Amino acid sequence: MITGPLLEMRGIGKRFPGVQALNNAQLKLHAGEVLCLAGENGAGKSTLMKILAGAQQPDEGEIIYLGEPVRFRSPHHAQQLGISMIYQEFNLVPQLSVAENIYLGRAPRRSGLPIIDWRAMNTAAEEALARIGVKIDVRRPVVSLSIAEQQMVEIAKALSFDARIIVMDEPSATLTDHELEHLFELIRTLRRQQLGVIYISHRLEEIFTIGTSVCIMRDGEHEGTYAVHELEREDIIRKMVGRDLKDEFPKELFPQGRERLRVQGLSRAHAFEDVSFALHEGEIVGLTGLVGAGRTEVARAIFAADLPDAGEIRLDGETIRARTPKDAIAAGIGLLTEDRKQQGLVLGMSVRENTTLANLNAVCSGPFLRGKDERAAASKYVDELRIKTPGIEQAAQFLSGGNQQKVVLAKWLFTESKVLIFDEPTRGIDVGAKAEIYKLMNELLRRGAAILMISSELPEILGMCDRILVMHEGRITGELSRAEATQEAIMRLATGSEAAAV
Amino acid sequence: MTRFIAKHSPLFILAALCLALAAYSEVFRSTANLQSVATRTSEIAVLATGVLLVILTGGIDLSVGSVAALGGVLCCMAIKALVAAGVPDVLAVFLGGLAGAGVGLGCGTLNGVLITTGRIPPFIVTLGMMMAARGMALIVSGGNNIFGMPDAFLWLGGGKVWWVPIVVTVVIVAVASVTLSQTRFGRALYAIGGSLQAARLSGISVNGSRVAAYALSGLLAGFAGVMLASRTSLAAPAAAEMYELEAIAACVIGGASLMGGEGGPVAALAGALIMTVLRNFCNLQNIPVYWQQVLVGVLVVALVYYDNYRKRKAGLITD
Repeated sequence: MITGPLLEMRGIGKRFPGVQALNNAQLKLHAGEVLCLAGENGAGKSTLMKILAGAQQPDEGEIIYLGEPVRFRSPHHAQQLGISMIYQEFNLVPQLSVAENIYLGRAPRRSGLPIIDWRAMNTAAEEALARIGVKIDVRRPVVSLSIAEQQMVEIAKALSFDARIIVMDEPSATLTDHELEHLFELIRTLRRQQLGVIYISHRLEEIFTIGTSVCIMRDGEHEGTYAVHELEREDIIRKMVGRDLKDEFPKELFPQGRERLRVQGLSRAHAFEDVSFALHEGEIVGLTGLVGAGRTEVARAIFAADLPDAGEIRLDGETIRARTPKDAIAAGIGLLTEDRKQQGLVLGMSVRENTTLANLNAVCSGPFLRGKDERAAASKYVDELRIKTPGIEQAAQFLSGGNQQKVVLAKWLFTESKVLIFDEPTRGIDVGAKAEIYKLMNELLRRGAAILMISSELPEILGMCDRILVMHEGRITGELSRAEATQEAIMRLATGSEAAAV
Repeated sequence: MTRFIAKHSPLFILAALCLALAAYSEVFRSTANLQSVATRTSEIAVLATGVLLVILTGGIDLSVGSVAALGGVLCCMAIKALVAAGVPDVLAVFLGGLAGAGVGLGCGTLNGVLITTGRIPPFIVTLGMMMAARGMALIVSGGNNIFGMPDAFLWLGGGKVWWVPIVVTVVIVAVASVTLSQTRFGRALYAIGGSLQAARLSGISVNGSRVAAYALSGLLAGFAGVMLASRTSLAAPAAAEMYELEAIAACVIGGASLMGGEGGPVAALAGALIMTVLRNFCNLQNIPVYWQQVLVGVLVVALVYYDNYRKRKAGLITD
């Protein structure tokens, strides 16, 4: 039994081409502690965790683990020594069973034979799940499990390596409230078993629910480590951002103008039915509901990414019949997708190329690109949106999440769309960048745009929207004005326990 | 500076290779030898330029060798038929060339439509085309080589003035280079290869651009077939066998990613030259042909490994 901290990372520095990702970063974790790692996007949290996981090597600094200096040579090495990572995107093979996934690559063999001992493996997997109080049939393929169940399998797998430290990166992003409560219960079990837990989340309230201490990072440096009870929510935000954030939701009210978008009786089989609503100049309408209620599907249908089976879409009074996103963009509709890495950006392309991608017309003479105009446009948005990048030629993949989202925003600002649909615009983005994105929404409204914002985060919906539409199982179950909306009212509509008249 | 070198490493490798060989071998640096190297690279370079357009979209075109053979055969048959019908030689040659390139365009367009509208994987479609076009070349020619071409046909392949095929190749590579870096179509190809979803949701006409890429690849293949027939002054239905793989290798040595979104025609030309130069050197050193195959194969893999290593070090790509 060691007496000191389980893990100490001291003076960690790491440089990438063009950026100093970490500079004298520190971290100290004791057994039985839940250390929350907080910081804006690009503050260096992921890099520090990648170093801990052995996926990257530090340029300087030392790591003391169980009282001894160590270097984690590879993810495999770190795992063997007892460091387990649970990433947002799970590392499970969908077609394989729960037991196969837990013992992937190290399945127990029948003695002396290269044949898997299925019975032993299934029993061991059941025990691993029982240790965290979870009952799942270990023979089921992972693909048939819910996201929450998959996460439990990941955690069971992590523990089966005799982990001393478990790192959870944004574990709550895709969980329902009920599932989240279960996860917290599990983390408390881990604490009792004297494991160290590092917990990363952008939802600050979770720090207060589950954390024991909080390590705050800013610009790649260690800002400070505090016991959770020493701090208020505002303190954490201030320390992360480095300044006072006056208003988390800088909502501005604009006079409501003419109708820009009207959706009438829109339906698509197995996705949503009879969806009707209108968007006016200068307003943000929220579209919320539980995951799977059909919100993203409605957005994709309006944008002609998938074609609706029935219904009408009118823009500024005129019916539009878009067959492809290209038509929708030409008509004046923009969609900021939920998945910005796969659908929002071409990651290998530069900030410049991504910025102009949806409106190449504006920088083309005939078939030819006007390089100078293109560079000017990109530079303008980098300045205006304060995109943190070494330059407009930097590939989008090297930017942090918040800055990537700003590039997506720049792309749609450049199209000068009349109607913009934001699908989960701030998921995985820190408070500072969130507020900036809200301010940009205000700017869009000032220019006469109308915004439809899909979000699962109720504080954001309540804070920024003029009106709120709630969906449940493919139908709009109610509309609430800004004045009458409360979390409870939304949840009632979202769970279908009350169908209000639209 | 390291970034610059890493980005253009195929050019530096080619330059270093040529300088080393020129210093080492007197025969290599002779004008006649360099001329022959450049001429012999021209067809592969033209094929590689077409294939590159497809590779940039994240696709593959295995049919270009066979399509080149079909283009060459049809071109020569058309010329002979036209000359026999009394059409002046020069006009017959021109029309024959058009026929050869045109059949390539047709094959490529068919590839593109089957891949986009038919939603069949590029590998399968172009593999099918590779077999079918070779079969068609054998059918229309009756399996025989076509000889006895009029004198005017020899121009394109350098039979009259040696630098014609080289200039033609350089022009094609230059046009492709400008198209890819300076036009909306070029940007669309890179975007599609980078992320098809993101390109579509940004309003790029994804299917149109992909069909165009395959069509152009076919067109250039047909044209390369005409060039090859002109240089050898005969059309063989068995010509250009395995050229598709040489063309793909040229792109990859030139730093193109088979995942799409990365690569350039000048670098692909450098890739093609690196292969020809190596073969040429082996010939000059009297290394047996079988060993040349082994050597070039090993070098292709080694060069790509080195290129990736350099890029990773310079932070141009991540894992």
